[in-house]
Amino acid sequence: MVDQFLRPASPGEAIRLKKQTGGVFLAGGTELNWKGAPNADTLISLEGVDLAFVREDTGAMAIGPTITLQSMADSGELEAAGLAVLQQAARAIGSRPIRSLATLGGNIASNKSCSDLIVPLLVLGATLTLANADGDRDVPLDEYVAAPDRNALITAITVPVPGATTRVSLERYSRSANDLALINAALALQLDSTTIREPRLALGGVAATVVRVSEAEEALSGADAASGLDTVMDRFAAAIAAAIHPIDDTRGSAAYKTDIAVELCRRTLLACVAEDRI
Amino acid sequence: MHIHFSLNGSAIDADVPTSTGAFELLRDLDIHSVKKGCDAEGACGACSILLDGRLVPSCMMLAAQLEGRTVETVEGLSSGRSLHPIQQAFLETGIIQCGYCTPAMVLAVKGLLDRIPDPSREDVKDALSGIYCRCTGYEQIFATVELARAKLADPDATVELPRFREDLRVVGKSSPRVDGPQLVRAEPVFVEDKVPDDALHIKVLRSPHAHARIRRIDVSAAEAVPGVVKVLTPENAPPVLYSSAGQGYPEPSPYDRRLVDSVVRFVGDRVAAVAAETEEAAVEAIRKIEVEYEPLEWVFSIEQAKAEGAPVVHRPENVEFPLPIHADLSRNVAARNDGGIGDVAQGFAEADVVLERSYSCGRVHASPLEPHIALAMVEEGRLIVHASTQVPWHMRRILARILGIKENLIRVIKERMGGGFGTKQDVVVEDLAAWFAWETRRPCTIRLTREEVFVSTRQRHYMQFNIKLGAKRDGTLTAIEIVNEADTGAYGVHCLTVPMNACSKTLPLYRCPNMRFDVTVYYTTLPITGAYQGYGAPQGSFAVQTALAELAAELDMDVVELHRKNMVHEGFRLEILKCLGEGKEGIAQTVSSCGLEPCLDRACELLEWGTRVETTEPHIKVGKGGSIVQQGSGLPGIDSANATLNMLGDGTFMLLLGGTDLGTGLDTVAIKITSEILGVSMQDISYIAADTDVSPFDVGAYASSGTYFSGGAVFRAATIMKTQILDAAAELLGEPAADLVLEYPATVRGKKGSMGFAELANRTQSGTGRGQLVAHGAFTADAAPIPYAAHFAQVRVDTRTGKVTMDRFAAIHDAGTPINPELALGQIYGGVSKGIGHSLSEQILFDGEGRMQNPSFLDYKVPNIKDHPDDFYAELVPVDDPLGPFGAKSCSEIATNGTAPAIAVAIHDATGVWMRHWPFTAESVLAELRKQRAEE
Repeated sequence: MVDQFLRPASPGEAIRLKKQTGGVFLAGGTELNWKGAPNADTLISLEGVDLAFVREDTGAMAIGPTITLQSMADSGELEAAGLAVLQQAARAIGSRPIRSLATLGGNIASNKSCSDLIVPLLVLGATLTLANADGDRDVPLDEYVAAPDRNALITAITVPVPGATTRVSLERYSRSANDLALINAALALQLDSTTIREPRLALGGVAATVVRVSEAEEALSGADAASGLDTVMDRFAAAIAAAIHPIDDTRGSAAYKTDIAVELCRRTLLACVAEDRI
Repeated sequence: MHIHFSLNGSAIDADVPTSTGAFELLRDLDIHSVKKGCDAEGACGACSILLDGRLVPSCMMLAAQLEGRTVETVEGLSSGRSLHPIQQAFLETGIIQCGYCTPAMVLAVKGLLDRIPDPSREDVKDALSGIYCRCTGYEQIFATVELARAKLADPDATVELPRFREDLRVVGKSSPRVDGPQLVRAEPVFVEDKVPDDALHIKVLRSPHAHARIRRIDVSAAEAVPGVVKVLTPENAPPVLYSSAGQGYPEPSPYDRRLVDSVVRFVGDRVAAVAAETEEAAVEAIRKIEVEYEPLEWVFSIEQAKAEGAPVVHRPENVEFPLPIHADLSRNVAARNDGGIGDVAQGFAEADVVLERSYSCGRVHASPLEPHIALAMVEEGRLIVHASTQVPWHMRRILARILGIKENLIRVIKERMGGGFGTKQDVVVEDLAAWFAWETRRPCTIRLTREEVFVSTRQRHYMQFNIKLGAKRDGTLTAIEIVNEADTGAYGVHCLTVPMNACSKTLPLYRCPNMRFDVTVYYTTLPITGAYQGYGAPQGSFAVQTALAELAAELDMDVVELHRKNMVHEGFRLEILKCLGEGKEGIAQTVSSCGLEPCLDRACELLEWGTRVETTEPHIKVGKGGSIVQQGSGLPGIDSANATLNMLGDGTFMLLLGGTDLGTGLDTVAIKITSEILGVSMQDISYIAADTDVSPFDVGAYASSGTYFSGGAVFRAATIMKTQILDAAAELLGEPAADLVLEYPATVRGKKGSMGFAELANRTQSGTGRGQLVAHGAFTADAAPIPYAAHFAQVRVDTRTGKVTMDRFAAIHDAGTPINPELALGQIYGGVSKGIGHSLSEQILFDGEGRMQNPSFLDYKVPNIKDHPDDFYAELVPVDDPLGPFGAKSCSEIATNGTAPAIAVAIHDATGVWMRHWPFTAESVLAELRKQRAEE
């Protein structure tokens, strides 16, 4: 039963109220209000907290946590900054009404297995700014996904602007148009002439949270995108299949999910090194 | 807490508990447009509102989140009698069927056009992407948006719609559905809108076991919960056996259940029920009922059911059979039947090619957006039931049996229905509402959660087929044999008739002289199956049509040529129908009209049949497939319908109709038939349909009977009224009746004089008149027109994931004269849409203990607007039928029949694999593709 619904007007006030009450931050509500009111005494609404921004921040884009996924999908700033992949990710959530309520911060804090936003943000090297009563700190998204800090307020998501040699690709598979992703995959890499450097691969739907697949990244690192991709692809695929352990559930068997994960990763790689992008 | 917000332009200051949901607050504020179709999961969109101009699901918000915001609902769009141009556009295109999702769709379109005045098709899909509609298949929304745009600029703008029968005034032309204005305004017309504040809320305790005996049940703690008024257990339940199936009496379904029983037979079966002052109290009381179960052995498949020594689901002393359906309870056989014409052994011996294949069809759910709901109360000593039902009269009879009272003490009022599709052809929840109301003398209501709808209403039968076909080298069929085994689940509602229909809607498509069917139906301890659009025909069509395509491949023949060579035509005598009765002998009949040829011609033309579509990506394969299908138009010799037409004092009319419109447009059919025959405006005919106190008997809306049977009764009533009008006018005008004609609007014209209906009414009803003109039309039949269709699909198969995408679909139908072309097309789009879902994304899954694993819209994936083909054609070919009213045939169930075989054949055309288990999930397609690669 919710007893208190607090409406702070600033991040500072939100953080203070969090410390005072131990309440739960509420943004759009598509996670917390699922199947009825949340099981929390106190809700701290972030509606009045002005954190729905997209702005440049020295070589990076800073995105506010209360931006709705629909606003992200519509954001010309993200597109101009070479981050259309984040628009694509936001749009992947099939229902416009859900996208109009759900927020980026809520999506990240929910830390779901198949989060459409975490998958590309991880490979883009996003950093979260976390605020609590002790101050602000920047935490790489990888760290947050592994051990989310539920006491802190995410006040910004900072994404490095892809450089001229950066290639990013996102793939998603779902059973129907407005289903959760069964599997989603993102790959970012640097193309040093035709050599693959710093590959970052993230997969959703294969573990309790979105995961990076370092074994598969290693298989790619240093490979020549212009020749011999077949051998690399085999090693890449084998590394993925060996590294992930999805579960059987009503949406698909573990074996099928593995097949799809490998296939989506293959497609991200092909897209990143497609001739028109080399 | 206090919440201030703007609701449709009015300032609201509401004082609510902090946990209150936005949806609940809006309903409390008498906003009827917000509906609950899922369990507050944001999965159906029926609760949508415009929040500061953006469409959002109100079920996902707390009331507190509305603070300071602007909320718009359709209640704010129309003022008084006038409609907003967008609402008006919805009325004119056929996009409204049951109307339960209509308010959300209207808001979605408003939000879209406010944002983008000139939206693309993709924009429309995106705007509608959060709304689940089971009825319409979404296709007509594109024309609706176009029309709405036009009407915003010019309120008189119209859209081009198909027309039939230029010799008729309203029949064959498109006109807004008669219940449309109330639906598009979200007037309080559904059962949920009628529930009084003092109603008791009923909740059901459901079995956690697939099969168990209840040893002991202790309700003392439940009874002690404040607000609990009455508890139902096996101990105080009436000891009456009944069937919940709404079928003609006596039914070919066993009486094998009680209100609640001491044995539970599936996970979700009723154990007990509670009526309490609030839903919360009822939920708490349910939790406090203590039950000691003695688990019994499970039966989860046909193989288990028929195995030697299998646990017996029903004991003979607990089952009565109103009709002989050849059950063998000791072997879990609920029903069986076989028969045929000619000699199949000889037919196979004469064949050059004999093909034998097995097919199976998984369970799916009809999933109407409105969950099952009922309200019952006692007024002046009689039981009044407000129901969302397809079968008010069967319901009255069944409730009378359960309560041990006579039918005169029961009144069933059919409200507007938020979809039914067969799952509301049974007494699914009304028995509980009726019992509690009768016992407590209080209004009692029950509303199922979406999870309960999935597990406890009626699923579609699992069926497995062995199909054997014999043919000459030139494709002439020499023999067809269908062996069908079906799983009816825990209770045998429609257990014989649904599996039989898999044969009776497939065999009569062909002129083959030797045909045989063999149907056996088994009880299992899985959820109950029952009626669902198509009623077995979709499963039968999948098996038979796919087998015919396999035969065509074997003969190296185009499957369309194979159909053309063997399919029936007008005048063909269908002897097979004599063997295909429902618990008794059927009636052979002659094909009264048949549009299969033009349907096939048009489908082939639209899909460019015979040409291949090449793709640039090697792993994407495109293929085409086609099927031919039929249904019936009600059940000759079994169904009956009645209508009464009263002339009112000013020459207008009141039509009392037993037929039950479940969103299909039957009420509009009835009004149009009356309007056409009597030459009066549709606006001058009101109706009541259906109220068992007022409307005459009708078996209800099922078996695609509406237009032919209920419409036939109206046709007769109106024709009799016409004769009465002419006779009365002859007296009054002093001219022979033979010299008089009815002339639109509402005039009798003779050679010498004329008289308007208003004067005629006044004079017939005066002290010197012949009395009020009242006409009764009764309709029964020994033949019914058969609707036909060709369903063709073009699919795109991703051979690396197995995913099948719909590129194009053509559903070309012979519905005779469509009384309402745009509503008939809507029926077709909706039927195909269900078929697409059942083929590609929907399947009911059970765990090893019989628990349904995916009873929510998050896990059971119904298709949404983005899952439909971009090129989605539904068309009606002109066919005139001598039997139906104005040449009309049915046009609803048939539309679910051809999708699966069309897609299966298209997948084969694309990839070379035959999908013999329905559905064709990506995972199963990939598995078949791998098998194929391994074999190569």
